[in-house]
Amino acid sequence: MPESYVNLLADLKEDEVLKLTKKRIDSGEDPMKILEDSRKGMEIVGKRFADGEYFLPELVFSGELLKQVTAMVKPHMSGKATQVKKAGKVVIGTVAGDIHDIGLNIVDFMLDVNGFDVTNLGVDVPADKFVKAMKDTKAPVLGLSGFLTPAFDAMKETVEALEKAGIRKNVKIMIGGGQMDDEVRKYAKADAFGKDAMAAVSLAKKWIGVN
Amino acid sequence: MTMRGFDNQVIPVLDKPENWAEMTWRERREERFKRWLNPPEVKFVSPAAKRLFKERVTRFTRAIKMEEPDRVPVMLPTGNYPAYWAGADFHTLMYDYVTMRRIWIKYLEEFGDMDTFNGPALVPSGRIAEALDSRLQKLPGLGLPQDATMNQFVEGEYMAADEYDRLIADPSDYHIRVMSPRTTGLFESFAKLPPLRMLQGAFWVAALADPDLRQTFQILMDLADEHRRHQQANMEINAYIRSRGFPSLFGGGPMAGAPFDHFADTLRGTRGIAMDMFRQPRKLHEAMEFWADLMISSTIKNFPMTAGPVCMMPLHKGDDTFMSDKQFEEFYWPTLRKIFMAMIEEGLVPMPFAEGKYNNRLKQIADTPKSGVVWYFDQTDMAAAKKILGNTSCIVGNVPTSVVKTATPRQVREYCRKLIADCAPGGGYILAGGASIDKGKIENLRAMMDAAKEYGVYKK
Repeated sequence: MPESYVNLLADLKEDEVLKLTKKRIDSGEDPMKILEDSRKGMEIVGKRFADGEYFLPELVFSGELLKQVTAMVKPHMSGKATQVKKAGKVVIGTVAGDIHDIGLNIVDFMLDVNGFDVTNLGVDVPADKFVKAMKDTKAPVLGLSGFLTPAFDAMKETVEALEKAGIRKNVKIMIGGGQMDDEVRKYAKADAFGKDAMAAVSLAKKWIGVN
Repeated sequence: MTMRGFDNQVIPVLDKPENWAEMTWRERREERFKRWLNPPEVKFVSPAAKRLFKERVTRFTRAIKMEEPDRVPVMLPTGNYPAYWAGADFHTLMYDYVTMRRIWIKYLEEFGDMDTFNGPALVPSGRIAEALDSRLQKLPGLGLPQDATMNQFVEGEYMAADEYDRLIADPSDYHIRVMSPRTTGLFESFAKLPPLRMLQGAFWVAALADPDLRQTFQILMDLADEHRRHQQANMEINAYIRSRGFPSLFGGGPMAGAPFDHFADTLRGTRGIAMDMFRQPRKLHEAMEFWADLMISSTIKNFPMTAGPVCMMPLHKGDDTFMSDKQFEEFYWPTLRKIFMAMIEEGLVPMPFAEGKYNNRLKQIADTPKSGVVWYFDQTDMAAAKKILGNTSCIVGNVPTSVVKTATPRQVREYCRKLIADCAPGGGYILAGGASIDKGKIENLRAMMDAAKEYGVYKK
């Protein structure tokens, strides 16, 4: 059953997934096992997205499925620690003055299903908030998102703020989104430009040293 | 008769020829091009200005028809750049129309040759925006930092998943009594209006007896003078620009978009539309077909003879990264194509602006009559676009904003040279930026013009 459950979730069969989730809970199965299967299903979704088989609508819908499954399972959890192995910490956010979050959330999703511990600061994040988050989390990787041309300067200012705070050398910075490209990377003095969410994952893996 | 154009200019509407009904779409378009070329409302300051105006319009119309003009026409990615060039900003323009007018005129006089130029079309009046209190859009100083350089849209699930039927049954009623109160602070009181079909005779008075509704209408009436001042300033700017011989590319076509975007952007949002694609695809199709037909019957069909036939259509969620080819074919393209075809039939020129990348879409969108649609690309590979769409559409684009903003003038010229080499042969190409810049070097904008003159001349 677990395998078909994983596949049903990966295939986004909403009715079947929910029915089967209920059945598994009713039969007294360990809720952690159901969540673990959901995670595997989401991993396949992430892989299909990376392979160009799935697109944004599938990602969003799979997130909705996971939310429903989690809500069903949660009341049956006996407070056991939900320890999940994480590949490393990454902080992400959309830079100051820009309120776009679609690309940011895709990167969040893809980093998450690939095992990273993601701190998503949201949109319109001032430079000092990025600095504080990097200090608090000690994350080695920072992802800056931006959709519009004004984000060029906000990215540059964020990188400069990290320099000023004396932590630039401890952090690898990737940028992405809308009008960003390698020219902007040079302008903002970031370490890499990623053209999509998969690039964010492989950059984070490369920098943190995960295979 | 007059009507409002894209650039906020009031444009006289001319009569159509008597045999309009018998004309082919190409003949109708030719009539509209003639109207663009000979604008009765423009008072040219000199014969030279008039001659330049005609040269420039002809450059565009020939490119649109996929013929070879004298040289590649250019649409500079100027946007609100003049404001920053002059040391002002977006926020200032929202409130100080006198400064706005002064800056635009100064910029026009200092820049020199351009193929097209417009007033600050997308800067709204600050006082009106404040009073409207829109939740859909944030502006510098109104939801965004005061020094923000552009407006930004806020997505949300403003329409509920089960409201499609209500919208289809009575779209005006739905938009005014349901959507407006949700999206716009000033219109919260509209939730108290009776169904719109009831608003006849004394019902109007009864509705306004409600203090909240009365206040909303009072505020709207008080804003009318502010609107007139804003419009007047814009009209003066545009009249000045035209009179010096600079045409507008978008002076009067109807504004329209893709029906999918209509539902995905402001009504349901990205999350909501994704749910609908899986949970109620047929309902979504029904709604998009309904919307397309409504747009066609109420806006596009019998569209009057206005200053110009080009219809700028920003497209958002059909790009390579948003959806698959299959989803594009199923959800995005059919109703968009329907709108294109209706515009073409009227002699109008749909000019979709394909935000993001359309590399995977090029084959799919080639399914329109030759020269009917002009495709403006943001980040699409232009050489591939020329190869695939070269026999179907005039293509427009796409010096990246990053290059225009951060590179040297020499690099900009070189980028344009390559684009022209890839896209110009045989005609059907307009050089443009991928998107507009706000700040940056004026030399880089001049470099684009220079490149077109140096590399984009067609040999006779």
